[in-house]
Amino acid sequence: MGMGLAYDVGIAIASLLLFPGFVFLSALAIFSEWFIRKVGARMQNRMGPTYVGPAGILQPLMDMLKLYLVKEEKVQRYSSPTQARIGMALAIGAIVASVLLLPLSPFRLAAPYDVMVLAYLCAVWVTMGLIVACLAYPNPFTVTGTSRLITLAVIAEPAWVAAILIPTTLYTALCPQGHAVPFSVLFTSMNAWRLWLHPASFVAMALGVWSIMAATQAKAMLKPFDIPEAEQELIAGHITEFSGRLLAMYELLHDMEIAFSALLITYLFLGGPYPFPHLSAPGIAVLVAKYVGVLFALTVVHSAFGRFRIEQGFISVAKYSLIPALIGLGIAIGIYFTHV
Amino acid sequence: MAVTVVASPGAVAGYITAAMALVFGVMLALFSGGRRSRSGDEMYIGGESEALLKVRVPSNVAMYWGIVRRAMGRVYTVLRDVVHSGKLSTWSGFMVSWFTILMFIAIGITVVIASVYGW
Repeated sequence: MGMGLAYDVGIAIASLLLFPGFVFLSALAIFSEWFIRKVGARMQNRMGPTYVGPAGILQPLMDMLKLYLVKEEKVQRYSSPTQARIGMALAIGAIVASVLLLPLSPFRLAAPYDVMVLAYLCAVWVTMGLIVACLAYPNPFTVTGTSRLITLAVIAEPAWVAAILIPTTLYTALCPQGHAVPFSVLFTSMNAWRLWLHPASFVAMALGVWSIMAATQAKAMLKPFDIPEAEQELIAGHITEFSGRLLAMYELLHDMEIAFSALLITYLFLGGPYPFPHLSAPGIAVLVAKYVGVLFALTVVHSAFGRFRIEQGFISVAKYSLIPALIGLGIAIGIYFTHV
Repeated sequence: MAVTVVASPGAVAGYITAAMALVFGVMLALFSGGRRSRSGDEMYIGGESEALLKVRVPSNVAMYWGIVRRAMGRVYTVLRDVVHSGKLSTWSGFMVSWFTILMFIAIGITVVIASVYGW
């Protein structure tokens, strides 16, 4: 009994800190940043990262190491670097802890209605942590950028939560084991591929994918939703005063948010490697292809659009994310009441 | 071998919060310290002085030019709509009426001067 518990705790900590937790998620985040930069550059007839590593794949890592090891952190008269660190550490902690809810982890957590735990972590803690960090450096640009960030979050977070409720509701309604652990992220991810086979749930899932992609684009502040940063207009918006290790921390948080969001879409909506097992050649190929596909879709939108104004961004998220998510959720709830 | 723990929502929320706290501590330890600089510790406002933030209303000069620009903007719009219609007759009509007004003013001034001082 003691050995079993020690094994479970050991594998839980390894999952959290190594795979697929902090170390793996950091590597995936750095790869994702490289992918977005490289593919985006090729779309715009530029080279993108080229010199560090094969095809410049290590460039984001080197950028981060330079900030971490070499660059000075500027301490402004009114700033609180500790508050900024606490905010970003909370946000990174929330993202890394969330991977324990996915089937990718060797140590998996599941509970009835745990989708709300995921929403609590990703929609509340990540955003709150970022806001706390940004406001630690008072500055007109920072305040304007943060107010834009909050404005976007007000519409993007509800849309994101509505979108993740679609597959979990459909899983609970349509899968026989859904009654045992209803609205579970883990079991929904393991059965998401089945939800595409039913004609009615197909429509809801398609609306869900569409809406969560748009919400992710806004949450990750990728173009056309890079409104809080607004380079030419607000210097760097909410991160104007960040430098050195603090900026490295922000870059890591931002890339991790993109990586985790793409991973969540890959599992919760596209079914991960299933019906193949994780540790099989087809399983790994399917998983990687889906992840890269999601990242590619985010990159295409990021590279094809210019920045929206804040009211355009707000309306676009409502139109292309919140409304499709609510329609999809309506269909899912209809199916739920028909089957349960 | 994967370990799957199915528990109550409260327990999972507790485990996840503990996991989050562990990563939070690791992140704080990892990103603490580093090279810091206090030289030039003023707020960055695009090269402006911090005194700028104390100004609650624009200065008198800025207010004057703001109002003039706004008012002149309207005058410009009126003139553009009248003169820049692209029709020669509109333009000549405007110019003739304008010169007529100027001529009447000149005649009036001449009459006043002549009646006061004589020819």
